[in-house]
Order: sequence, then structure tokens, then C-alpha cells
Amino acid sequence: MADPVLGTIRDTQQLKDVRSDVDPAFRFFNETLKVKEHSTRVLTRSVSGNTLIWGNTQKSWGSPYLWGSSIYTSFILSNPGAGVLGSSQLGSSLSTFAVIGVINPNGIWYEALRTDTFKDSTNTTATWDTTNFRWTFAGSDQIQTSVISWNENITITTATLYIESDQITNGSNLTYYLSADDGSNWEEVNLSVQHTFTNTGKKLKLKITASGSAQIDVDDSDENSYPLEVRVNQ
Amino acid sequence: MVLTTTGKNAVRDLLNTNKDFGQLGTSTTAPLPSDTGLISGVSASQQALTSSTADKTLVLSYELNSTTANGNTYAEFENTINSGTNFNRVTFAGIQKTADLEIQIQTTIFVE
Repeated sequence: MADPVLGTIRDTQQLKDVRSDVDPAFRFFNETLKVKEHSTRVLTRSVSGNTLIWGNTQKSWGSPYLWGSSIYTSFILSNPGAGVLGSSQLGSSLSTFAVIGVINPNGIWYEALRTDTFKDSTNTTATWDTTNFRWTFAGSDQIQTSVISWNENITITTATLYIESDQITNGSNLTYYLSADDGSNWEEVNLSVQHTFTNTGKKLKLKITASGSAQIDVDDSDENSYPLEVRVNQ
Repeated sequence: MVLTTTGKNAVRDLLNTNKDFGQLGTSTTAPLPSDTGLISGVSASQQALTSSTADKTLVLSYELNSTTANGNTYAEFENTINSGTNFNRVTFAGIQKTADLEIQIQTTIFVE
């Protein structure tokens, strides 16, 4: 170059002292951004009967709807627990929604541990950590999910559990189970090996038991995510 | 160079900002990536979506009350974004909708 600092388009001389072991100034890296559909849960609740229901546009007034007689959350005059103005509602409170289906894209259930949607609180004793995106086992405890796959039109005959091996700490302390019949029969499975159920069914659940301390992380130290997978009938 | 968690959450928020309505339909035909909407949608079932977020996660929620869009057996559902553009479609075992039933559908989207 004519000038060691500022080159021009008219430069005719080549670079001197070019070193073959010097990296070029720019490299191109690929990053993949996946927007993935996880589970769709279908829930219903019954509002049958003629009890007046707080918040229901149809069952809020008049014949044939009647005041309920046994719902504690109703406003009941002279009842000290249900007669508090401003907090006790008139009429029945709505019942809770119940899951009637869990549909997974391409038959694959993913768990990224961002929520505890699929946590079976009654049967989970290990830590379901949605802050650090991990399951932590202290020893002799377990994780159990609610139903993670359920389509009344499909019988579950096989399933495969995948967990990124690098994301498991002390994996020898963990035993994995799947149930295709809503938890009535648990069958031990091996990671990444398709399991054929002896007891088939339509409601799939996952259970992991620990015999010592262990941990399963979804995210690695670089904040890359490796959601757990359970593949159904494939 | 990395795609940061902040960036992934921004993508999540773009989807959240542009969510529109959910809708039920009666077709049992399995969903395909080439679908552009419900096959037999019932417009009376259209309801605005609500949502919640967590790290890299968006949960879209749809709710149909007891008095609306009764008399059909629903077996398909879609979420829409950007003023009615189909975002996803799912099929499930049929639900006979009556005035005694309310339906809720929750869809989880994860930016990986």
C-alpha cells in the first residue's frame, strides 16, 4: 500500500509480510432460532344444573336458576364464614377446569421446565425448579408428571424418553419410568430406547426416582436449552 | 456471536404482541404444515387470546363460555396472529359443546 495507514483504491502494491498463521478479521457463524410448539392442553368444566353461578352470563339471574344450598363460597345470610359483604360471592363459584386432552406436535412431548404445568404436586418430592430450569434430587425422592399425552382416539403402545446426557448429573442414581395407563402401571425404561408397553393405554405419565443426589438441567451454562422429550408411538 | 436470551425473549414478545384470536372447528383431518387455517372453522367460536410468559416461553390461552357456539362437536383448534393469520392448528378427540360446558385450550410456544 502507498500509505501504511490509509489505503486507496489506486493502490497497486500488494501487502508485505503477510503471515499465513494470522486469522482473517471476520468469520461467519450460524445460530439457529427455533420457535417450537410444545403441548396443547384441552380442558373443560361442567356448569350443568340450575344453580346460579357467579360470573356466568347465563346462570346469573332468574328462573330456572336457583340459589345453591351447599356451596360455601355462596353468600349465605347469617353464616359467619359465607356472609361477608365484599368477599363472599352470591351463587356458586365455578368449578375448576379438568384436562381432557394433551396434544403434542408430531407426537413429541417437550418439557423446558419454564412452568410447572405438568408437575404432579401430590407425587413429586424432588425439586421442580422453574427458576434454574432443572429437576434436583436429594436422594430417595422423585419427580412425577401429570398426563403428558392424551388423545382418546389413540392408544399408546410405545414411547421413548430422551434427555441430553450432558445435562444429567449423577445419572446412575436415577431410574426412569413411563406409564401409558394414567399411572396405574409403571414400566421402567432406558433413555433413548423405545419402550413397548405391557400395559397400553391413552394417558401417558413420566416418573423419575432417585436413589441418591442427582440433577437434570434443561439449559447448559451458555443458556442453550435442551428440553426433555418423550416420543409417543414412533 | 450468539443469539442472546434477551433476543429470544424479544421474539417471544413479538408473538405475544401480535396474538389475535383462537377458533374451534369440527374437522378431524390431521394437521399439516401446509394448513392455512381450520378446515371447518366455526366463526362463532372466535375468542380473543390471552397469554402469560416465562423465560423464552409464551402460553396462549383460549376460553369459550357456556352460552357461545353450542351445538357442534369440536375436534380442531387454531391460534391466530396478525389479524387472523393462522399460527398453528391442532386436532383432538371431539367435544360436544352444550350450554352446560365451557372449554379452555392452552398452547405453549418455546423459543429455543
